[in-house]
Amino acid sequence: MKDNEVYESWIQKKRQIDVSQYFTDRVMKDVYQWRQSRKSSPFTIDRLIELISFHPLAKFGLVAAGAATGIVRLIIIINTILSNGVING
Amino acid sequence: MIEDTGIIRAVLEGDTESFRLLVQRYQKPVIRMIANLINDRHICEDVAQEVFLAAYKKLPSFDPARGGFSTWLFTIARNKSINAIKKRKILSMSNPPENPDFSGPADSLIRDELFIELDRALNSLNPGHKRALVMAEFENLPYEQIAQIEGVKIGTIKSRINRAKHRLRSALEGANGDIK
Repeated sequence: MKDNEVYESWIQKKRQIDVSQYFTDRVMKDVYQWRQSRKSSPFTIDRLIELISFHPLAKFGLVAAGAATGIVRLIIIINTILSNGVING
Repeated sequence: MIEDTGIIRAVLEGDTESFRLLVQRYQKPVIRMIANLINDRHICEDVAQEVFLAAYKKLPSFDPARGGFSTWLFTIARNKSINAIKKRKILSMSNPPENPDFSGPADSLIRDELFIELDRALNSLNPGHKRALVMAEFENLPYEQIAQIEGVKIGTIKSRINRAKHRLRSALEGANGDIK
C-alpha cells in the first residue's frame, strides 16, 4: 500500500464528522437563556466586564480614570512629602 | 445564499433567530476542528456549543475589517479547544485511536493499522504544529487564514505544517516498513 494513498484516505477519514441532529437547537437554547438572564439582571459584574471589554470607549475611559487616579495620588504624595519637609525644616 | 455580514447585521439589529443560520453554516467545520484538536469526539459538541455561545455574546465586537467571520469563529474555537485541553486535562494520548474494524479484508486491516499510527503521530505533535496541520489538512484553510487565527506569520505556519507532515510521513514509513 502506497504511503500517499494511505495518507490521503486518512485525511478523508478525519474530515468525516457526524453532527447531532439537535445541535443547532441546543446552541439556540443557550443563546435565548443567556439573553433572558441578561434581561433579568442587567447590572452584573459580567455585564460590566463585557461592556469594558467590547467597547473601546469604555476601555479607554477605564484606563484614563486609572491614570488620572494615579497622577492625583502621586501629586498628593509629593505634596505631603514637601509639606512635611517644610514643617520639619 | 445570504452573506455572513448580512446575517450578523440582522442579529445585531435584534433578530436573534438569524444566528441559527450561522450555527447551521459553521457547525460542521467547527465541531470537526475541535474534535481533531482535542482528540475527543464525545465532548467536542459541548465545546462547540461554548464556541457558538461565546461568538453570540462577542458578536458586537466582531470587526469585518479585521478579517472574515469564519476566521474570527475559528479563532474562538482554537482558544476554547486549548482551554478544554487544559481544563479537562485531556492528554493527547488519553483517547486511543478508534479500534480498527477487524472484519474487513487484509488490505483494510493494514490500512487501519496505518491510520492508528498516523493518529498516534498526530497526537504526539507539538500543539502548535498539530493545530496548523489540522486547519490546513482537515479544514482546508488557506495558510493566510491559519496565520491570522494563530496570530503568527505565514512563514511560521508553512514551517509548522512542513514539520508536522514530515513527522507523519516518518511515522507512516516506519509503520509501513514494519507491516511489510
